Amino acid sequence: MDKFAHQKRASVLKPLAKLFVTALLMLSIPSHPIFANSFDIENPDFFIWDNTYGVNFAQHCQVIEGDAQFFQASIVKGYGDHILKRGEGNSNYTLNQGSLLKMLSEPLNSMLNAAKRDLKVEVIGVNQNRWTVSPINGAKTFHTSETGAKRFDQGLLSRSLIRPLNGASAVEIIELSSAATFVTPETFKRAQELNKRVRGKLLKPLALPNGKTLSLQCPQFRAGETLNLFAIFNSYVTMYPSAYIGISQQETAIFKSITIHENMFPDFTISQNELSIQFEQHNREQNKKYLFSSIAQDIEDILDHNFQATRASSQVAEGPMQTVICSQSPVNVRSDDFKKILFTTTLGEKVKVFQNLDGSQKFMKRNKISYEMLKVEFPDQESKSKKLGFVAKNFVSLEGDCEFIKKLPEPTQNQRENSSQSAAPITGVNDEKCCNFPTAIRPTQSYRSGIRAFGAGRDNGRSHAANDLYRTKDESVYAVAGGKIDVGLYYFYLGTYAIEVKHEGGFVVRYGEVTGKKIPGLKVGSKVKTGDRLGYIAKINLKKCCEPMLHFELYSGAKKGTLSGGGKYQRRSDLLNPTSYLQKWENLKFGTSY
Amino acid sequence: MKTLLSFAIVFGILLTIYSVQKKSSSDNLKNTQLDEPSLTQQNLSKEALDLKQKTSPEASVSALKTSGQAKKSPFLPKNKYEASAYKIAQVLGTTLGNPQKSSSQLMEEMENLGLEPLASREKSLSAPTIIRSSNSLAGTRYFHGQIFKSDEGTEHVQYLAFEFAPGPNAFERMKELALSQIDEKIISEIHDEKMHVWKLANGYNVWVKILQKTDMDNDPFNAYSEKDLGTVRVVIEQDVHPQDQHDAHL
Repeated sequence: MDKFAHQKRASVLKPLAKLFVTALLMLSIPSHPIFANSFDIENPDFFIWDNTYGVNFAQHCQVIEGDAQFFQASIVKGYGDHILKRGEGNSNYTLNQGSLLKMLSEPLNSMLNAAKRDLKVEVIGVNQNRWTVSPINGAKTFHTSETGAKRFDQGLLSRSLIRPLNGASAVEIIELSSAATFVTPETFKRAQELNKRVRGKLLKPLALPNGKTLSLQCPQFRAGETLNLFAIFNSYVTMYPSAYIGISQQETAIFKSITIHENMFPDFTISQNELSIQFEQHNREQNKKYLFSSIAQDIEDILDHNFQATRASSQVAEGPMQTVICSQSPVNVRSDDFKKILFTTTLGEKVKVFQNLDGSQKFMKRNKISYEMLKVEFPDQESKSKKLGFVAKNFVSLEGDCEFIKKLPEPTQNQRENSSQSAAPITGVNDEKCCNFPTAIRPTQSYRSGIRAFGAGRDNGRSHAANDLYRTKDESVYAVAGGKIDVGLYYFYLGTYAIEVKHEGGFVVRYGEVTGKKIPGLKVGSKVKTGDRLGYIAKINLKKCCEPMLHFELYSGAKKGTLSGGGKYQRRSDLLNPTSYLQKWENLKFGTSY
Repeated sequence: MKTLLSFAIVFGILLTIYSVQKKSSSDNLKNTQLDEPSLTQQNLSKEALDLKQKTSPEASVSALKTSGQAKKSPFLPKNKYEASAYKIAQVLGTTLGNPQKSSSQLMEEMENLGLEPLASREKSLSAPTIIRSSNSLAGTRYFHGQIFKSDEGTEHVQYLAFEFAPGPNAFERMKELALSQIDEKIISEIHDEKMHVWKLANGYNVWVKILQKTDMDNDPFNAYSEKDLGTVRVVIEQDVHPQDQHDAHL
C-alpha cells in the first residue's frame, strides 16, 4: 500500500488545476491587480493562535526575520512507523511519519552537530495521513495503533528522522482538519467565526531560501514571545495566501488534528519586507474596521468570555452600584437601529442602563450571531451627542464585577497623600481645630430650636436624629473636615439623597437631604479636604412642604454598620448630638451665633 | 302587526342593554392608562386569570385575615402593566410588614418575579447593600432596594421602590396600589397633585410621585429620556424626620 499515493496523484493534478484557474482569471479579468502586484489582490489578514481564544487578529505586531525554528517534522520516507523510545522499562510508541514535533532539548542546529543519536521530542501533531484500504470496497480508513504516539507524548527519536520545517522539505504543508472544532468555547463567538478561516485550510511555514524563518512578535501576546509564521492557503489551487497566522511553541492546539502533505506551493515565497508591508496594510484595515465599521464588533466578541466569569446570581458584588463599560478595547456605541456607530467608549466609563417599560429586549444580529443590546446613558459625558446610545450587553457590568477595572493600578501612597490632604489633620470632632460649618452662609433659621433641633420629638416617642440647616435649594454643601467618602449618594428621604463621609479622627457625618447631582470626580473612597464641595442642598418636591435643608447627622465612629438602628433615634448607637459642634463651627465661620 | 311591534320593543330593549354594557366596558378601558389589553374575559391569559382571581376583593379580604387588619382598598389590576406593578408592589407590602428583610430574601423574591437582581455593596461597613433589577416586567422598571445592616449584623430595608410607565391615570392607579399594600396604621398624609406621602406608625413612609425633570436629571441610578416624563415612582422608606416636622409646613 502506498501511503502517499493520493498525494502523488494530487501533485500531478494540482499544477494543472492551478494553470486552468490562472488561465481563467487572465481571460476574465486581464487587468486585475494580481498581475500588477502579486500581493495586492487580497489584503491578507494576520492572525495569531491562542489555545483559549482560538483565532484572533494580530495587532501591534512586527514581522521579523531570524533563526527561530520551533517546529520540526519527522521525515516521510519508505514505509512503516518511526519508533519513539520511552526509555528503560517502558514500551516504545510508534510514530506516524510526517508528524509535527517540538524539541525538548537544545536548538536543532546544535543538536544536529551533536554526537547524540537520539533527540528528545514532544509530539504536537500526529500526521493522520495513514490509511488502510478495504480489500472489499476500496474504502479508506484512518488507521490508528494502540501503541501509536499521541499529542503531548514524549520520547527519544532518531536524529536522522527529524528535519526542520523550513521550506526545503518535501513535508511542507499542514492541512488542518475540516472537522476540527478547536474546542473554542461557545462564548467566543467571534473567535468561532474566525476559526472558520483556518479550519480545513493548508498552512505553509514561512521560510526563506537562506534557511531563515519569518516570525511575528506581538508585545501584547505571551509577553512578546516570537511566533512562527505560516501562510494560510484556502485550497490546493490557490496561488496566494488568504491570511497569515503566528503560532507559538506553547500554543499548539491548532495542530491537534492535521494531515501532512508535500509542498503544493513551491513557487510561493515572500520576503520580510513584503510581509511587513502587508502587515501594515492589515493594521490599517483593522483600525478602520475597529473604529468606523460594523466589523468593529470583532474584537468585542472575542472578549465575550470575560463576562462568563462574573459572580453567580444572588451574590453581592463589592463596590458601588455603578454600571460601567467593561472591555479592554474600545466599545462601539450605536444608533437606535444599530446600523450607525455614534462614538466609541472605553473601559470604566459610567453608564446608566435603560430598562424597557414594555419588558422587551433588543438584539443586533451580526455574522449570524445575536447580541443583546442595551440602551445606555453616559452621565459623565458633557456633549449631548454622546449622552445616549446602544452597546452590547456583554460590555456592561457592575464596577465591582469588572475584572479589568480591578486590575487597574492602585494609586501609590505618595499619590494618595499628595492628592488630597489637609495641611494639619485633626484628631477628631473634639479637636480644637475642628471644623468647618457645612454651608456657605448661616442657616435661615436656628437649627437649635423647634422641629429643626436634634431630639425634636414626635407622638410615638421617636426623636429627630439630626440638626436641619435651612438654606436655599441647590446651594453647596461642604465637608466639615478632611476625610474620605465612605458611602456614595443613596436614596434617603422623599426623593432626596444622602452621602456619608468618614472624617479625620474617625467621626462620621451623614450629609442628608442633598440632591442626586454628583460632584465630578467625587466617588466612594475619594479623599476630601476641609471645605470641599460634597453636594447640593435639596428641596422635597412637594408643594407647601418643606424648606430646602441640609439634614446633618453626626456619629463618633465608635460603632460599625449602617447608620440606622434602634432606640428613640432609630440610629446607630454612636450617634452624637451635633448642636454644640455646629454652633462652635458656626461661630468660627460667621462670628457670633444667633 | 302586534307580533311585529312586540318584537321591535324587545329588540329595542336588548339594543339598549347592549349599548349600556358596551359603554360601561368602553369606560373601563378608558380608565386604563396604557394601550395595553384590558383583562377582560376575552383575552385573559391563564396567568392573568389566576391573578385576577387572587386579587379579587374576596381574595384580598381573605388574604388579610392572617394580618388581622383589613387593607383599606383592594387593588384590581386592569391591564398587563398594572398586573406587573401589582406583583412588585406585593414585595413592598410584605416589606412594610416585615422590614427586617435580608438581602438574600429580597433577591430571592426578585428572582421569583424574574427581575434578575444585581447586588452591590461598598467596602465600608456603613454602606448599604443596594439591590437592583436588571430586568423589568412590562409597565414597570428600576426596582431598587437599599438594605442597611446594624452593627449586630441584622439587616433591614431602608428603601424600596419601583417605577411605573407614564399614563393619564398612572398616578391615581399607583396611589391606589400603594394604599392597598398598607396594613400599618397611617399617622399622617401629605400630598399635592404630584406626590402623596403616607407616614406610618412603624416608622416608614410610603410615597408615590410623578417624577419631575429635575428628579430625572439628577438621579444617580436610573436612566431617563424626555419621553419618560410622567413616570410614577412608588416607594417605601424609613422615615427620617419626626412626624410633625414637615407637616408643620402644610
